[in-house]
Amino acid sequence: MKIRGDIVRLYRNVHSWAGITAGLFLFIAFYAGGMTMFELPLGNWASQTSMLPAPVPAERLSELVQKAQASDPSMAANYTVVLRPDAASPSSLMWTTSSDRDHGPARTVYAGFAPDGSLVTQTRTPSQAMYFLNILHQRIGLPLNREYGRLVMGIVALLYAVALVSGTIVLLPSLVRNLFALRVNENLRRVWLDFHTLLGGCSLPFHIVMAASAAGFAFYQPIMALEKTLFLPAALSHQPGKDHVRTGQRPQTLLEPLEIVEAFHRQVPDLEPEALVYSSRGGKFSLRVTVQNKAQIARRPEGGYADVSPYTGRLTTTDFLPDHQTSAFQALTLIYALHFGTYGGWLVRWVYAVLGFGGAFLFYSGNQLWLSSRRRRERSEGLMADSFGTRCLSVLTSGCMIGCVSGISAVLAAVPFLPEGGHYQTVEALFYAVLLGCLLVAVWLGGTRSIVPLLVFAGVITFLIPIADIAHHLMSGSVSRLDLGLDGVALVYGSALMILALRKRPRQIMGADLTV
Amino acid sequence: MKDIAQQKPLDGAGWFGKAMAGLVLGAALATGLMGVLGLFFHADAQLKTVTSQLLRWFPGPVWGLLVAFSFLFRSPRQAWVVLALLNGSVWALFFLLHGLMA
Repeated sequence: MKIRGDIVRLYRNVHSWAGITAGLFLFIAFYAGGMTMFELPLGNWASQTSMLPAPVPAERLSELVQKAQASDPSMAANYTVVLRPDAASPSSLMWTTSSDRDHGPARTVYAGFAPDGSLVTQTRTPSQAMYFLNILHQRIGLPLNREYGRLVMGIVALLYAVALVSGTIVLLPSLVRNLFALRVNENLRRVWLDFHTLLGGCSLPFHIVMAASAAGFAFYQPIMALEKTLFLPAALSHQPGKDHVRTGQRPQTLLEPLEIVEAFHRQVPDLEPEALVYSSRGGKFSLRVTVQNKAQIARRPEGGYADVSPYTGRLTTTDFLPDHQTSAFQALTLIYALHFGTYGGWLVRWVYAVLGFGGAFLFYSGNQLWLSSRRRRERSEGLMADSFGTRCLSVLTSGCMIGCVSGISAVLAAVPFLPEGGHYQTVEALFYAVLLGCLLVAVWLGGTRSIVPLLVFAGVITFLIPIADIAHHLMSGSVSRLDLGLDGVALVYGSALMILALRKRPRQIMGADLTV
Repeated sequence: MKDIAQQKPLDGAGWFGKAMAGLVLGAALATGLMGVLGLFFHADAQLKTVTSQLLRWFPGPVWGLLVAFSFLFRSPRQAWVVLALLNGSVWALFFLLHGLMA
């Protein structure tokens, strides 16, 4: 493909500057985002749900709901009946007691039966550590509130789009020639460049999807407000089958959970309901039936759902019910699924995680490239030491990026020993303390010289994850399979960090040092 | 005129003005296009139809593309003028449709 030389040169500049401005934020966003692929299993691991009340047989579900309502009237407003209890939600009935939605899973009461048939409840907050990682991803690493976080996120999303478009323009004319050219023998700047090109070129579709959906997420709320002003009000036509039974005829008693399940099966024979989520407003209940089907395109990792009338059991909307959507809603679900990796089961989630970490490394290599070409220019201009700008970016690149890796590992290592699997504020404080510590080391030693000690530190912290996990289990006396999976991955990853740190010429290789 | 323009290679001069044009007028253009498409496909203001929910994803990426390609303009002045003209026509079409359909 032919593109005029001056345009390629112009966009090479645009690419450097957009990349360098957004690179640090994008590294954290991609690294933490890769982690969120395992938000559910890691959340279960962190929450240690095995001590909660055992599930009750299906025929006793309505008895459980009645007894719980009698014991705690506040529960009547919002509660969830779990039809297929698993490690994540082992009790048959649960409800939340706080409305704080900014810090992840709220304080929850889990209910079941004691052997003598009386009601037992246990109140606890599920681990908020994974939610913190998700928010870290959404707020691109800055401890900002929703409002300012979204603004900065919007700016970075635009810079990401600009960097992506300009990078593609630079790559296109020499695509075939440069994509797979990994010239290891020539100078190190060349190696970084080839690596950056290879990584960027191969994950281009992923980055296009992420840039487009990130721009969508970033401006979600202002655009929603604009839509309300720009579009015309809905026509008053009555959509048949979409509405509830009219208020006057509505029977006032809720159906029992098993009757709902039966009615659901009659209407949707191919899907298995997972949970019944009741909520009420002004005395009128609404019910959402969630279904889990891991291989299908879903809007959220939790799966799809249908709205059902809790009084008649009739389906009211199937807009987000897998296999029962209109094609337009399927397209809408696909937008979410493409961002969250919620299609194609665990294979896609792993691929997304690898692409996410690869994306983070793409930004690391981009920063290193920028540093090495600036250093080369400064040396040729006769400067013996780095200029202030070069020094700053070098310190920020090592400190923030390796600090983010260490911080997330530190959170995972601490989770087994934190009360209730880590509250949001605790985990947040721990992460930023580690990040700040790494940044201070980078300031103290300088960007290039701090790479080796910081990588060793990140490796050691990562090794602490399996050690902490095993120590915790030896003390409490149970080992489940997932823990071993996590421990194995942490061991391999920690070793990789160590090898990077301790190989022969680490500083030159990781830092693309061009002082010679 | 066109020949002279082609002889002078594009460079980074005026990048700030071009980027600002893309940032400000690009946002207006992207939302204007969303408005026109919304009226065409009968998206509703209560955001109940799937069209309204799908269109919500449209302006963000379009804005990003407009900012990215704003560097291709010859000068900041040209960027502001061309984008302003495009905005004028898109928004005129929007208000025309809005008046006809309301």
